[in-house]
Amino acid sequence: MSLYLALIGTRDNPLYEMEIKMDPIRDFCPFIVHSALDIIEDLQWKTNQLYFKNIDNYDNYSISGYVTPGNIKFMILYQNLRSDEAIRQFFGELNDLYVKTLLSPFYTINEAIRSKAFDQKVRMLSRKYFNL
Amino acid sequence: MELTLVNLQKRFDRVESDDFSPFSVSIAVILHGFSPRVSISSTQLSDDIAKRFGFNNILQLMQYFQDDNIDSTQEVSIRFIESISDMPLQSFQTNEELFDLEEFHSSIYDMLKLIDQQLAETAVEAERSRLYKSVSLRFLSKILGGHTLSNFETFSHPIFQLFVLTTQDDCQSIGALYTQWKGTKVPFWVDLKEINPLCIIIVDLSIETDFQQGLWLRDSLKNKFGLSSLILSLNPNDKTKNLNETTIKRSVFAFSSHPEIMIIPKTLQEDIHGFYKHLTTKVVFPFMEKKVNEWHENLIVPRKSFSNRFWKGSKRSIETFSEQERQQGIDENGFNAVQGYYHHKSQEFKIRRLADWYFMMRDYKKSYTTYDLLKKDFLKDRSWTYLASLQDFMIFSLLIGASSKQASVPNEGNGNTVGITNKIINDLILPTIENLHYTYLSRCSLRTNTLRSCILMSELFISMGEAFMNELYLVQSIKLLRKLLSMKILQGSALAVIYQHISFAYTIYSRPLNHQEVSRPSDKLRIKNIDMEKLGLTRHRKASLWLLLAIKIIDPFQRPAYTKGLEQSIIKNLVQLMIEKGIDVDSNWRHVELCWLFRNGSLILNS
Repeated sequence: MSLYLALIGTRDNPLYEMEIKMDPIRDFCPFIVHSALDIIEDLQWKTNQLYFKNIDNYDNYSISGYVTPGNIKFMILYQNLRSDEAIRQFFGELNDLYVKTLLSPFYTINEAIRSKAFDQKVRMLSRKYFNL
Repeated sequence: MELTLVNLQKRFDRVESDDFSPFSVSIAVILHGFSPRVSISSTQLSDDIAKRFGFNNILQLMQYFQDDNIDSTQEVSIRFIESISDMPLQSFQTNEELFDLEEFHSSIYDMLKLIDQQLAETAVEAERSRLYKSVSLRFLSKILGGHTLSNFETFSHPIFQLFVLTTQDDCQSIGALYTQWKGTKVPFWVDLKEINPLCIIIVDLSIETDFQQGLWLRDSLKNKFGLSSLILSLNPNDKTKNLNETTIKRSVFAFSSHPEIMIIPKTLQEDIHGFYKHLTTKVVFPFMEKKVNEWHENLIVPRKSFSNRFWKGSKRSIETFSEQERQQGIDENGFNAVQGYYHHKSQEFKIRRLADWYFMMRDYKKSYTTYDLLKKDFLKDRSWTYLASLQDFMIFSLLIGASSKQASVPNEGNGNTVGITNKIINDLILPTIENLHYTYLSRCSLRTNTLRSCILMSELFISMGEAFMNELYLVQSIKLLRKLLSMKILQGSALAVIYQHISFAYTIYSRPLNHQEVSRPSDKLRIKNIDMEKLGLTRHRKASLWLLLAIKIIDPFQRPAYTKGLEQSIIKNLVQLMIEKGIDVDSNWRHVELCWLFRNGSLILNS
């Protein structure tokens, strides 16, 4: 099991990145996820849903995404994760975390998230849902 | 087997001037790749004439002229090959690969190396662009450049056999050449009787009586051997290096052992060019047309007849096979199940040849229906290679037929489908492709055929997608190329070329807006928001990713000039995306949208 998570701002800029056991394609992870923005931008106008399951793939890796109402994208590139439902719930909780960050008076939208607390909580979530 | 593509230079010029992409001209290369083959045998004296101009033999000389019409999809062309009697024995094996894959890989490696060197030497933007564009066309010509004789398709079988001689040759030496060719031991799947022999008598114009001698030789060849002849008037002594000399370029399908360019007298170039044109339009194609009409009457009409619908017996071959042929394992239908080939006397072979000839004559509607006639027979006989190849060319007929409508249909954009609709793709094309690739790879282990099939179909889809502004075709093309990658047939530099193909398809991907845009006068004081409706209509990020993957394979340290250009294309793609989003782009391109590329540790900076 391996995973790369990126929160991407409205101007395609990375807000937060986390990578677990992605060694074979480590250098390419940002670009693979970045390229999947083409697909998610295409799909997001066709439906009201926020979660986009398995929108793209690269080799044996899949990509799923989540678009917040403020057009921030959560993207994960993963291999052999437990289930789609786990990914959906992970995104739901990640959104809660992101909204809490947004509420901070010291954070501006589209700015990189450098909070250690945020990072720890995201890692806890990945342990909870994916055993990573 | 390295093949190069120099003669496409003038087409690249057209590409530059008319803003064409290499995929617009790739159809011309594909059509030329399936041109009728004409084999050549020559006497020592005629080869000596070729040697006077720096060529090894007459075949090599002729091959420099075979791409003369390659820049047009309208003009017909022929390809020259060596005579069957000169072919090595391994050319006659059944179910043989189209070309050596190892050699192919090394030739692609060499090609990129050469282009890298050329790019390093030039700073002219037009020239650099031309070199980049040439990659896909060179790749295509290498795929189509195989010379192996195939038992399950007849494109590689010569239609004419030329015996080239001079007036100094006597009838006996021609007779020996002709007898040797006629007595060539060929497998049962080569029909020597249907290869039309023709003599070419080279007449030396500098000798007054030579033309008369040529006419006399023509008559005696007709009387003694029943051979028809054409006169080729040359002036072999005109090899002076003066103002009247011209440069001719190596054929796209020629061997790399041929020099890239040759300097010959202009008169020789004009004479051979005229002869080539005459041979193509006045001899080969009229002959094919006559034959095709004859075969249609004899083979297709009875099959489609009213009585045949009730009496299936007439469908199969009524040809009787000799005892010797029976001992070779040929059944009453002409099929050898052990070695997996159809006898050239069998109806299946003849109809397949007819369909291939229709294809070469660019009548794709008839070629499709003729291929379709054979499908059930091949399925019944379990002749898998034949079936896969048949399905392959059915799809080619369908796609080339649609692509060639480009000229007649104006580029309207907005999802023009030229007859190949989504339904046809899903219900007919995709299942057939799935089926034929499975057969090629799993049942027959024919990797090069699978490669050719994937590449040609994807080229045709890209070409259609580009011409008709329809993303449906581009998506299919990308799917085919990604499927080819998953088959793991290619490696190294060839893989990088495929990545660039995929990137190109993503670059031109563009879905039209659903509504008409209202143009407003520009106002700098007005707040400019990102136009949400324009998001997701293009695939520039995807194009960038595949270029990046290509850079990784090509290796920036080995090919710095080549990969530098690809890096610039990545940046251009992303800048294009920003422009489409309505973001003002400044000259240094240091925008937050591009930070993925420029941040510390990114691949672009590393390379």
